[in-house]
Amino acid sequence: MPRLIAIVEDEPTIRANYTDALKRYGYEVNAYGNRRTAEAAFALRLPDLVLIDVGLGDEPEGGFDLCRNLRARSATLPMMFLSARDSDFDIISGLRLGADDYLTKEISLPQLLARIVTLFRRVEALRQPPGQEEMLEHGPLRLASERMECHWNGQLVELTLTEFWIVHAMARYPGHVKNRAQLMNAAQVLVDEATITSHIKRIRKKFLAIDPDFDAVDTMHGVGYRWKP
Amino acid sequence: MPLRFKLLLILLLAAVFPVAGFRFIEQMEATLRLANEQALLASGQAIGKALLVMDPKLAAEGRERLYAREINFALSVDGYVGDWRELEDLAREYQDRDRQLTLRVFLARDPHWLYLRADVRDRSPVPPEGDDAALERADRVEILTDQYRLLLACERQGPARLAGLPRGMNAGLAACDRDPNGYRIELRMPTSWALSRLGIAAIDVPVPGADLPRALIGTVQNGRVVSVPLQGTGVQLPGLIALLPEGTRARVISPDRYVLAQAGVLYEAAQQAQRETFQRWLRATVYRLMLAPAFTDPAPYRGDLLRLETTETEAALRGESAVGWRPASTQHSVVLSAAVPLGGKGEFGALLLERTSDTLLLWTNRGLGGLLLGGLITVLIASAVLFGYAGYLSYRIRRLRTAAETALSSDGKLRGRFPRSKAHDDVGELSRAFARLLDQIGEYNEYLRSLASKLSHELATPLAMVKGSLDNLELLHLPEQARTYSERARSGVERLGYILRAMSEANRIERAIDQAEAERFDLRAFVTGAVAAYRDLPAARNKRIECLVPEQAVMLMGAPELLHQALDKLVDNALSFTPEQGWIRIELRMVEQIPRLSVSNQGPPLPSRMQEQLFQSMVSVRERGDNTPHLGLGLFIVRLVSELHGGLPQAGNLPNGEGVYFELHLPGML
Repeated sequence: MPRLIAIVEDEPTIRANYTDALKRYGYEVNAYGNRRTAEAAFALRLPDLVLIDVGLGDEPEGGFDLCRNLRARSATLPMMFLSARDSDFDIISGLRLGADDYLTKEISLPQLLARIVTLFRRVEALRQPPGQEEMLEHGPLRLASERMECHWNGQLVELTLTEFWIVHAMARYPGHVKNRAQLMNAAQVLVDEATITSHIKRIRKKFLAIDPDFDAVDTMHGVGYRWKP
Repeated sequence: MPLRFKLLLILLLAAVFPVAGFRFIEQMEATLRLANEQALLASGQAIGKALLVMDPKLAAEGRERLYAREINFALSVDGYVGDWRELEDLAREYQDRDRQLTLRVFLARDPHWLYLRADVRDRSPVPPEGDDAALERADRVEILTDQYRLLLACERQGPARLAGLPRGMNAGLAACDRDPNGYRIELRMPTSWALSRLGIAAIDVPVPGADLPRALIGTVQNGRVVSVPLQGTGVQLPGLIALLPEGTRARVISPDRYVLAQAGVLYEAAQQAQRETFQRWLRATVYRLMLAPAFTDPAPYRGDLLRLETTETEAALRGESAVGWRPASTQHSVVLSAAVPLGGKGEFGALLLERTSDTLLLWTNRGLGGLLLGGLITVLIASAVLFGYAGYLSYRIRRLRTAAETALSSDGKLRGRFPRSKAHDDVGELSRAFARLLDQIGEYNEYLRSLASKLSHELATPLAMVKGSLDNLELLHLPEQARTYSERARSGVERLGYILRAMSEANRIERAIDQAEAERFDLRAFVTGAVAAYRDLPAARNKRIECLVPEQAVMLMGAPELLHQALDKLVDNALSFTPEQGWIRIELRMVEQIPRLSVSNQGPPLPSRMQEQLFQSMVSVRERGDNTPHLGLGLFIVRLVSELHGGLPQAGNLPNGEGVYFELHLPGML
């Protein structure tokens, strides 16, 4: 049975474009133009993944409200923001509300599809019992690449997809410096390099929340970042 | 020309009023003075004519005469001349050709006596020897009166030898004294002798007993002693007073300068008693400073003089009327003197009239003087007030200008609030209009500043529409020809996306700067690390990147990520301008404890007209034709980062013209 993806986007053209592309990939797609119709539909059935635009018609923050409501209903529902708003503030707000990823509309359709596939893979992996999947361990850090779970000192660190891949790229070869472009490739996002900096900051904060003495991510000014060997 | 100088010029024009006023006073004063002079001269001429009629003696015949000073004290006839001291000026002097013999005659009279003193200087004295007849053959003085011919000689100090009087009459009349240079004879004659004429001569004999005198001097004609009219001098003429204007003194002088008669008194002493008021002081000062005519020395005009020799009288004796001004004995008055000749050419002498006058004649005309003084003071006060007001106005306008100049910072942001004047005048209006205008400019600039990011934001959605459609389109099986066009459309869209990203980048950096947190880091390590990364860039492959840093660590409070972006922009610029095999130098140095980070590179110099605007948004010095769009935001970001660190960026050409430099001063974040 094909997976059901819901798109909440107020711009009909973009909505149609995404719908067409995702349908072409074999997903079942339901598209909604505003929060009200979307919520009405979700009340009947939750989709497998929701793509939400932040600004919805006359509700500038309608996407955030929708995300909050959905997260309240389901802790596991995969949600992605897809918005023209690219400020750090919006990104942080969106992720804090429990979205799994925040993408800007600059992303191309193939990239978007790649992110969706990855997200489904992660959900899939979470459903299966921990098996003999590939584990990456370095000191207190443990990365499960199938489930995309990150543990530090045995505690789960809630990372978004982008953050997970950035940590993964650094930790695979500890001590090697990864520049911003390499980290961007690893995370499969097309954002400008400054956004990488803010991702790194957030990653540090998340680890620090668990372990106040965390300092495994090194900034090499002008070069990039590395995981401390 | 600044406004205050123009106002000063106009004020100079206002200064014309006092000057003109002063000139007017001067003219008035001169006119009044001239009128006074004319009046006094006219009186003088009238009185002179009257005098000649009243006192015919003045017009006596001939010029030769003797003058006897009227005195009111007695002289003792004792051979000592101490009591003649006050009358020294009376001397009438005669001298022979060889200057061997000199006779000086003094004459004075009181109601009873005519006193005569004859000083004789003789190099070869021959004293009388023997009886009276011997007098005829000694050095002697001969006196000729209407009745008598007197001979006087001096033997020794004491009574003089006197001959020519009836026996018994000569007792106590004459005395004498002598010294090696000559002798002196005193003689008094009763006024009962009807002394209307008098002759006097000194006779010098060469040797004792000689028959003929060697020299004969005195009132002499054709070798004989003759008598000439005797005229009293220093006479008070009460009849003249009636003719004189009030406060005027008149003096009549003879052709040989003896003061024959006088009448009236000058009011000099009377005015001295007046109180010293401010107005009087002011008048005197103004007068002495500015208006005073050429003064003559007051000494020759003294009232007790026996003979008078003044400029005016000398002119009158030549037949010309003359006037003169001199200071009076008090501060506040002057004396006008006018001399007129007596007789057509002064042959009978001259009349000198003197009159005291207030220093400023104008003030005698009270109304006019007050008006002028008031006008002068008013103009001065008005000028001062006008000048003060002009200065104040100029100050306000200058302040407004300064405020207007500094109201906007170089990037168009309003700097604080423009000071709005509360004054209800034109300058106040101007100030408020400026404030309104600046508010509008500020809003407009704010709009422009946010326009780029708003625009990029608004364009993001349609761009996503186009992009998504293209993505979908390319997934269809397009004919080859259609694919070409879709690729072209895609390259256009990508370029548009690049532009939008660049446009919003500045805004994003501004936001990042607002949220930037300062941390302490080593700038030296930062630069070294960054340069190492730049050397790996493909664009730097054929270019030499030099790095100059201090030997010790340079700690700085700052935001390394932002600083890194700024440095990225500068190096990116430098790389694109540096020719192949060229060099780039990244230098960190300390100047006065403040780190300076500079990036210089070989390459074309900056156009001079652009240097100031270089760090502003949307300014680029790149020539068109580049493939990648360039919005000129790089250096704007550099400036924002630099300002965040408390410094300003500088750009310029290297001194030898081989390249350009960009420098950041980094005092550090607060």
